Amino acid sequence: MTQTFTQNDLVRHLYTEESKQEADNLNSCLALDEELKENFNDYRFITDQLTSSMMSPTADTINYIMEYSRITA
Amino acid sequence: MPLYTLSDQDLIHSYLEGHETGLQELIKRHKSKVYTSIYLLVKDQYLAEDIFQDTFIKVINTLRAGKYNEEGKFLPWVIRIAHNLVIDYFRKEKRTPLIATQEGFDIFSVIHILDENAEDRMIREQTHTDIRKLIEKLPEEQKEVLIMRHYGDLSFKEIADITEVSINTALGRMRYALNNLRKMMAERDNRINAGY
Repeated sequence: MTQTFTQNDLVRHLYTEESKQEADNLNSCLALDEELKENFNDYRFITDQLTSSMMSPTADTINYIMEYSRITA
Repeated sequence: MPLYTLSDQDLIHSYLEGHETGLQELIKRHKSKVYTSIYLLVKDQYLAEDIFQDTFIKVINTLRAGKYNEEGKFLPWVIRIAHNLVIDYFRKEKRTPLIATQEGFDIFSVIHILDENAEDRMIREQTHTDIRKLIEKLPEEQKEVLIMRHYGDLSFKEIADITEVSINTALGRMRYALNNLRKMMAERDNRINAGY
């Protein structure tokens, strides 16, 4: 029996919120279904962009926090 | 044993035993997600720095007071503190928070660029600025789920519980967020290619 997957399943797969069995089944499906694979790759591209666009505080801010920790210890 | 191999809980224990490096590693590990979450809410780098600072001061004080619940995950706890501080700020300034949730949640790895020339760096930085601007344009409930899942490391079940919706609704909001971002990015690329 062929298992069908929803778009929500793709989102869960993106964040690995599924059982190993579900993940294996979905990966097999992705290998065979071009449209599903394209959707998944689009989602992956976007989440990669979300990750790569993260910002960081300045070194001064971090130094201030560490100094606070030291002087109040 | 290298610090990066230790769990968050181990680093907390190490810090409470007097090793500042434990705190340093926790900050290093989570600073980008926490800072980005704050920035996406307040949209001001200087304000985000202040709130980030206050967040970790509160983290330090709470850890030392023995009030940290070890069963919870560290990053979502920190982001909850950050979010509450953002709400406090907006209340003081008598402004509406960008995202209002029942619990305090919201929220944000750096790419190491080797041999990047000035033009490439500009393009990269512009792309990153663009995606953050696109996130700001999302409907609030989609932005909320996206920040909680991607930067706050909450599961969809946890997000569903906090926002009092079903898991399918939380998943659907995330899916719509991703679809909307995809659409906006395509429209932006079309404008660029058309010379606008």
